[in-house]
This record gives sequence, structure tokens and C-alpha cells, in this order.
Amino acid sequence: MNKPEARWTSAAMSRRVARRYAAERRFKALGLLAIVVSLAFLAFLLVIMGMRGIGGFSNGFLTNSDATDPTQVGVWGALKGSLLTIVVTMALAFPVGVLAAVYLEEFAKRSRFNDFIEVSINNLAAVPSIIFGLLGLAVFLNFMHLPRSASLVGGLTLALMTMPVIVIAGRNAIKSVPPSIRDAALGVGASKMQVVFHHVLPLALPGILTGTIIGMARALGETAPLLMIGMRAFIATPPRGFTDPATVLPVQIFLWSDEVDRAFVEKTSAAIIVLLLFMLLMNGLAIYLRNRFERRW
Amino acid sequence: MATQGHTLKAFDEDLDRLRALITEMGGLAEHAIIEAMRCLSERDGDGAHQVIEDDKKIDALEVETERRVIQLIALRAPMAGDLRDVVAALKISGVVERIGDYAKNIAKRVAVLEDAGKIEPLSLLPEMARIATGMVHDVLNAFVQRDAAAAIRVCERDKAVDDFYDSVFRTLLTHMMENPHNIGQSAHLLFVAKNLERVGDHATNIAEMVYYAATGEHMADRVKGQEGLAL
Amino acid sequence: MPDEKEPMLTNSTVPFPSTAIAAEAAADEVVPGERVADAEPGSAIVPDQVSGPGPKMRAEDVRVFYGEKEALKGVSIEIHEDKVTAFIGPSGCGKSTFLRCLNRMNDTIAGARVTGTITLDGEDISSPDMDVVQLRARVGMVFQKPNPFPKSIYENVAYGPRIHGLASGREELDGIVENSLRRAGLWDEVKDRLTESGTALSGGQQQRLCIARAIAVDPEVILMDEPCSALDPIATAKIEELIHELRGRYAIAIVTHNMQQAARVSQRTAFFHLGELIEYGKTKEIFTNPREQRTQDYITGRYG
Repeated sequence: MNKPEARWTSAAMSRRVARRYAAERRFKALGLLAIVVSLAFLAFLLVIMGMRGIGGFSNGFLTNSDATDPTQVGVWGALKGSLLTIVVTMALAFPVGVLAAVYLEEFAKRSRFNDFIEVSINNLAAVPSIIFGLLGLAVFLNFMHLPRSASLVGGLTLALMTMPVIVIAGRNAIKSVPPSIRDAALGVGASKMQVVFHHVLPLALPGILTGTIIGMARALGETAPLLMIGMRAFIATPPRGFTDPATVLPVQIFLWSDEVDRAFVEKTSAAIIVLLLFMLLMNGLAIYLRNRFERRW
Repeated sequence: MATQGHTLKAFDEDLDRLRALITEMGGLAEHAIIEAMRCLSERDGDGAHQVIEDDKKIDALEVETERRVIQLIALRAPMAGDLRDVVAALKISGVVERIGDYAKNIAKRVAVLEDAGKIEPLSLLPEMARIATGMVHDVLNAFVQRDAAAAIRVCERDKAVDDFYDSVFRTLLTHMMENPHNIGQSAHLLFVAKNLERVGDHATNIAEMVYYAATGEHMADRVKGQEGLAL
Repeated sequence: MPDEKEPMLTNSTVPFPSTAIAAEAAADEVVPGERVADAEPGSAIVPDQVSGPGPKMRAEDVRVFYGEKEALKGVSIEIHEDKVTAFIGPSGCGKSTFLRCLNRMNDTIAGARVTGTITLDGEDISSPDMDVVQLRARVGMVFQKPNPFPKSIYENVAYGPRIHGLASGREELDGIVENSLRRAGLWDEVKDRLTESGTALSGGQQQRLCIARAIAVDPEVILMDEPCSALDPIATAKIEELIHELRGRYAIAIVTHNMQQAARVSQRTAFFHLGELIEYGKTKEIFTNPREQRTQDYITGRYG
């Protein structure tokens, strides 16, 4: 009875245990440090922008559109442009992405060709956004002669960019639906379509929506591809429809930051704050939607 | 015949111990019969008393066997061949206990016959006892070996025991008619002969149990010996 | 506990002591259309007579290949109506694989190839005329781990009838749901909370819900793949009792690795080993006097 007890209370064992806990504490400290550093940058940005931009929220900033006079500029035109663009993007990317994911996961047979498609889509998600801008320029503007600088074209271009993200997220979400649910549905005599649309998709929806949120966040902040398709013009009135010339908020910020007039600095910072708030709002909405559809299985 | 042992070694051990119990009981019963017959021939009153005492051991073993069997069924859930074996062990222990009782019965008559003269038919009985106990010995071996063929052979020897009994019966009857004053002793010897004949019958009963345990089928009627003519 | 009563004497030459016992024995022992033959070892079909109804499902020389590997080697067997047939055998012997052939669930596994013939009421289930969706409604399945849909209890049971169009209105659907839950022995426990999620029930209740779901489409055969292996003894006993009650309406085939359960629940037992069907016969004979040494070894715990 003595020997085993001695093993656990010996000095060597105590030192070993102490080292283990010390290592754990060090790791926790490092983790905390990493988070603090990342957040510090964000906080720094927010504070600087806040300080610089708070003065820019004068009358009409939120309701006016672009103007030559810095005191008259507003973000409304760019905001509306962003909204219209994102609507087009989602209207195209979401259904196409989800259906593509469903087809690739559920219906396509395993073959070299389908493996090739999978690799291609994964690569597409990593392609620099400016390439999509070139694509948009070549196809939508030069070939299809769609109106330049329209939110329709911007939306189309961003849809091309966002779709692979949704497909990947969709495939992973569908893969993670447990096979037991599928078996159960098949066992009751459901057809393949019924299994997918009544059971698999509802369960995969939270994951798909997460992917959509990520894609949308990226699209909201894109500047380069939209510059390429010409959404950089000086827009004095907010766009009325999808084919009217428009600009988006990030581009607007970019344009203002180029201005010589010092008064624009304040406005730029204010616009950045608006953009951040806009993104927070959209993301919040998407997360709310995802949580509503979340089901535990 | 089982090809290999149970995955649970304890199960094999339980079955082995059960068979050992039966073997031990059988050995004690055989010895009791032989010893009782010896005491009868030699008029050994003390030996007979010992046989009567020793019967308690056989009874205790039967109780132990029953206890072991119930435990085995509850804990091991024996199936198929194992189940038949275990149930056979239970039944056989009851039969062997009865054989032990016959030995005790014979031993009890030694005291009565102690002061009798030599009786002619007495000489046949030891041979009868030898065959009967031989049958018991062989059939219990057959049980341990799960040997159905050996069980059938045992059954065939019952005829010899029954023939012996018929012969002793006729001899004793004649002796009783010729020596009426000896009728009491002769009657006792008759009962002894009957007991030995019953031992033979019990051995065939055990043989049927062994056959069923080993093969899962019942022995056909023609294999069993004929019943004794006198009832 | 199988409820077939034993006649007092089996192969004795003495005739039955009374006509009553004889009549009882005749009714229970001999199913019209069935005769247990002295089959050669390994062949194991229980052939049916010319007269009387045939088996509900019949498999002939069924083989299953996963890629190159032959998982099931030439199984021929019959599943009879109003009898529970148990498939037993060690892990990986092919019993679940064979069960899944009976409702073509192996079709969903990429790389699985099934040869041989399986018939339901005489029709070949893999013929183009047989709609696999309808087949799976006629041959229902209950799985090893309870897998209710993540929907309400009502929806779980109503889903099947709804997609097959078995109810013409809400009231009829309600009736089907209630009936199925009653037959599954679950109605009293859930009738006040039909809108709660099916996954909130206990393990045993979930499995009974899955049985109710299978019953709701009015199948003819119910396949059960180790339905009690994830449940505690009390839940298991309830399900076994349920199987006993269901036996009258449906042909039931149950895969189990619990031999005691097979003995308790079934009237026919099939022993599988390494992809082959070794022995098939009446449960009480398999467990008291099997013909094959391999069966005896497995049942008595000498296997491996």
C-alpha cells in the first residue's frame, strides 16, 4: 500500500504536475495576448476614425449624395448603390451557389470530371477580386454592352466572385448532415429529391447561411473589381434603378480619399464609420436569420 | 463433441466442475453397492453401518449438483448442447442418488442376515452387482465423454442383469418352497436382487439422458432392454 | 418468448394422448405451405409446399460486392408473413448487408453491387417495373440508432403518409398518426405533446417513434437492424413486446447480435458467418439442437 502512494506524492511527480499547469497558464496567456493584439488594431482603427470622422456627420451627410462641395457631400447615393449591388449579388449568387452545391454533393456521380469541377471551384474562391473585375469588363461591358457603372453590372461581377464561396460552404454544410437522417427518409420511401429538399437542405441551411454571410461581407467591401467596371464616376444623384449609374460605399471612400480638399478627410472618415456600421447591420441580420433556422439534430 | 472451449474460460471451468461432481457421485455410489454386497457376503455388520453413514455424502453431492446447475443456468445462459448437458447432469444426479439409496437399503439388510446360514442363491448376487455397477461406471464415463455410442452399449448390457434377476428369482422361489423356515432371509435376498436389477435399469435411464444430451435426439425404443418378467 | 406451444411428444412412436393436444400441435407446428426439410448443410431453404400461401419475401442466391470484395456469398432464404425472422451472426458476417438488400438500401452505397433475385409477393424488387420508392414504403426499416427527423413528433409520423398521398385530409392524417403511435405503444406518452421535437424523447421512446413512423405508411414487411442495441433493458423489453404484437400484421425481419433476443423474439432464425448463410430453421431447434457445428459453436459462445 505504501509503494503506489509514494509514486504519486514524490517530489519528481509534484514538479511534473506543476510544470504541466505552468505550461497551460502560459498558453492561456499567449492566447489572450493574441486576441488583445488583434482587437487592439481594430480598436485603434475605430478610435482614429471616430476622432477624425465624428465631425463629418453634419446635416445631410446621410441623405445627400456626392457633390463637389465638401460641406454638401453625403453618403446616401453610395449607400443606395451598395444596397442595389448587394441585392443583385445575392439574388444571383445564393440560388446558383446553393443549387450547384446540392447538385455536386447529392446528384453528381464520383468521377474525374467532377473532381476537376470541385478543384476549380475551390480555386475560384481564391482568385484575386480584380481578375473578376477584368472579367466583368470584358464580358458584361464590352461583350454584352450593359450600361457602364450600373449596379446591375457590379452585382453580376460580385456574384461571380461570391458564388464559389457559397458553393464551398454549401457543400460542407450538406456533407455534415448525418447519413442517419438520409437513411431514415429513404427508409420511409422518400425519393431523392424529397430527401434533399425536405430533410438535407433544412438541416444544412445554417451552414449555408454562414457561408453566405462571409461571401456577402467580402462583397460589401470590394473596391477593385468595381473600379474596373467603372463604378467610379462622379454620381450626384442616387441611382433609381439597377441600370442607373451608381457607386458603392468603399469606392466612394476611395474617391474621397483622393480629393485634394482637406475637408474631405473628415468626410472620408465619417463614410468609413458608416460603412462599418452598414456591414455590422448586414452581418447582424444574416446571423439573426441563421440562428432562426438553426435546428439541433 | 465440442470443437473448442468457450470464449469465457469460466464457463468451461463450471462445466468441468459439474462433470467432476457427477463422476465423484457415481464413484461413491458404485463403491457403496460393491461394499454393501461384500458386507452381505461376509456378514460384516460394521462395514454395513459405514455404508449407511456414507450415503449422506452422496445426498450432499446431489444437493450441491442442483445448486451448481441452477447457478450455471442463471449466470451462463447455456444453449443447445451445453443446455442439454446441464439438464442431463441435474437429472443424472437424482438417479445416482437413488442408486446410493439402494446401496444403503442393501446394507441395512446385512444386520438381519448376519446370523443366517449360508444361502445358495447368495453366490449369484455379487456377479449381478458387478455387472450393474460396471454399467453405472461406463454410462457416467459416456456422460463425461459425450459418447452416444457408449451409452447405447450400456443399454444392451441391461439384458444380462435382467436375466440374472430372473434366475435369482426362480432360485430363491425354489429355495423358499424347500426351506420354509428360511423364508424371511430369502425374502430379504429377493429384495436385494430387485435392488440390483433396479440399479441396472437406472443405468439405462442415465444412458438415455446421455444419448439425448450428446445428440439432441431420443434413443429409439428397440435399444432399451426388456422389462423383467416378474414385476 | 415465442408463443408456439410444444406438443407433448415429438418423435415418439406413442400417438398423441388426446385429440385436443393433437389439434393444438397441428395448428401451431405446421404452417400451411411450410415444411422443414432435412436440408443439406449450407443450402438452408425452407421449401414451401405447392398448396398454401408462399413466403412474403424470397431471396435466391443473393450476392453483394463492395468493389471487388464479396461481402455476401449466395444467400437464399424466405421471410414469412406473421413470423419474426432473426438474423444472427458475429460482426461483419453480412447480416445487416443482407437486410439492406431487402429494401434496396444498398443502392444508396456507391460501389455496391447486388446480384441474385429478391422477390416481394413474387415480384422481383429490382425489376424496372418496381418503383424503389414504393418498395421502401412497402418494406419499412428501423435502424440501429434511433433517428427521428428533427421535426415535431406529429410531423415525424405524418411525413411518410403525406409524401405518399395516403391521407386525403387533415383529419385522416391525424387518424393515421394516432393509429401508428398507438400501435407503437407511444400514444399515451406523447398525445399531449405532439408538437414537441422528436429528438427530445428518451432513447426508447425515439425508437418507438421510428417504429411508428415506419408503420404509418402501412408497410407489409418491417426490417429492423439491431433496433435495441442502443437501448437499456427496460426499453428493450418494451420494444420486444411491441415486436410480438406487430407480428400479426407484418412480416418482420430483425438483425440482432444478442442471441437471447433472437431466441425471445423470433420464430425463425438464420445464422450468418463470413458472408454465408450457414443454417436457417425454427428458432427453438436452432437454440436447442442446431444441425451445423458452426452454429453450435457460435450459440454456445465457443466462437473465436
